[in-house]
Amino acid sequence: MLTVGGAALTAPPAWAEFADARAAMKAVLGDAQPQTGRVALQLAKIVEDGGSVPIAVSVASPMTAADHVARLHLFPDKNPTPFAATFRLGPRCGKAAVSTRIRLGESQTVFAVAELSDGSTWMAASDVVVTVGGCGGIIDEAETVTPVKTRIKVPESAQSGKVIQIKTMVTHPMESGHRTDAAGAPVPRRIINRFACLYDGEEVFGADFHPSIAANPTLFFHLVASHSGTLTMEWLDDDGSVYREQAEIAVG
Amino acid sequence: MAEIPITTLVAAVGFGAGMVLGATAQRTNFCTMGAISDAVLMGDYRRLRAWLLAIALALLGSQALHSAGVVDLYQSIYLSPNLGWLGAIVGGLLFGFGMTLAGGCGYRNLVRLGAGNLKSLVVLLVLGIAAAMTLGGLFALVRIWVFEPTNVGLGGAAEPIPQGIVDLLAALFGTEPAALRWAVVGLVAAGLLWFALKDKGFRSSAPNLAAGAIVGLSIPLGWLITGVLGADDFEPVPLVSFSFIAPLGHSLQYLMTFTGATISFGVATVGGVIVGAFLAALAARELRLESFADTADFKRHLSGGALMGCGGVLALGCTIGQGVSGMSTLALGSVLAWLAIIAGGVYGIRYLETGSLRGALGALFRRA
Repeated sequence: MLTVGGAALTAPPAWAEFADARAAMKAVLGDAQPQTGRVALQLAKIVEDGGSVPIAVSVASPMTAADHVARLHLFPDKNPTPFAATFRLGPRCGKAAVSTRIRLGESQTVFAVAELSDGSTWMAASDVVVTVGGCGGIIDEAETVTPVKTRIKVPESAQSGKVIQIKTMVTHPMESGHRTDAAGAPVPRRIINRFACLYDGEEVFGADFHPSIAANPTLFFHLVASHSGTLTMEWLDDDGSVYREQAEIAVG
Repeated sequence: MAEIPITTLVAAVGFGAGMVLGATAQRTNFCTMGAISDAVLMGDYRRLRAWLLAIALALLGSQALHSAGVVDLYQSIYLSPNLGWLGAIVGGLLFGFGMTLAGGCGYRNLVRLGAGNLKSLVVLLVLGIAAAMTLGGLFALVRIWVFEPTNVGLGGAAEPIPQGIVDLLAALFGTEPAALRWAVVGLVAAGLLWFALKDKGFRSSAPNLAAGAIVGLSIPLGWLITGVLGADDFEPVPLVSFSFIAPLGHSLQYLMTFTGATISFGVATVGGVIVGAFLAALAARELRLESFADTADFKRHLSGGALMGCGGVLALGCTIGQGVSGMSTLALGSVLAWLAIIAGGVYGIRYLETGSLRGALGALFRRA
């Protein structure tokens, strides 16, 4: 059940808790010092509800076999877990642009770091002011229990070689493990920790999620439509469940 | 071809609908503050009847959309089980008083700005800043410490009951809201329509009829724009209709953080109303730059804008946001806020008439 066409979805390596984004970056990148540039980060400057903040990150890269983005990381500096996600990209993505929604516990700086195939690392940073919620009682989305449901949006057909956008979403509380319930007892962590998009069984895009990803995680990313085939999206839950949805794409 | 993002589409249509509202109020003189002032000072109820007609049509249209399953009004902020009664009453009173000082509500001032009134520019800037300050700035502390603790969670945490009058009656009689919905809606709408249309002067006044109809029908249109056009699992748009307080605060933020901001329905409608009123005034050759007469005039508009910004956020809306959009959901908080706005408006008019807060109080009770 866990394998499709030979590819297996396994939980990402467990990280220790980090003091701040710098510590998380060091754990992920080692001694590499990212240079500023090439990465573009789109994030509102002021947000009223830090529970689900859209963020889009892109990298200026030709995305060829010789020169492409390999990994892209998001670090929200002042969240309890100052590491939101790692996106795994490759030349088959065609375009290094990913969007998702993150949680921001307070005003802070969000860093996006790209690791390129040539070994260089690049980054961008954006400051965001998070104010209290506005009109009316904002219902804590994590409290509403909804059955896990996956949704994907894939073009039915595409021209050969064209870069297409894939939209995915899964209804999931993404319980961060940092919350306490009404009685004051800690609510155990339960998140989607990994996502993979397989093109005829081969991973072409993937993501590792941490608790800073908002409930009902969404992911928008790109792929090169190289041939007609099956796209399989897989989400791995902390509890071991794998949610899977497939779509056929006709490439002509 | 690149796909148009849903948020852009919602904003574009919202801008168009805002233009219609702007042109309507510019041409017909629709004004909720004017409605109260005409009634109190001159015994002329025609503009008030236009407002009531708008509420009746908004109510019928919105409830029909809800019953048909086209939009789910329970997703709007008005029907939350969390009843902010103190905010609705105090905020409503502040807003109502403020709009008499500022020569009209947020909607009216947008229309007047479109026609060249610089006094309205000051009102709107102050209103927007005060609203943003109450939403998430300095005044938000007062809102959170003083007002939020008084909010009542209807039905308790276990079985929350939405604050709709239909839902509360259903809970009282132990039945389903759907069973009572049209009896209650029909009764309220019939009462409003009867009062609005019983007057021959109103029935024969085309501008007032048109204003009531267009403003009223714009509310279900607003639900349709955000709830149907904006329905997208991937990029959800909150279910809202027309309101001119928080969106004014957001509009200022939007202009200041444009490079990193996404336009919302509310911000687009604010822009639409100004542009619609501008075009209507241009076509009618009514564009005219106006400014303050004296310092006292300036002070009145300044404090009116500030009171409307704070009060409107506390009350969760204005004469349009609560007074028509909120009323269309039959939320208890909207009814409280609407009545409080009218009470604050009547007091404000007496204050302008007598020149003192105490004199205004005396005038209120002499009449009563």
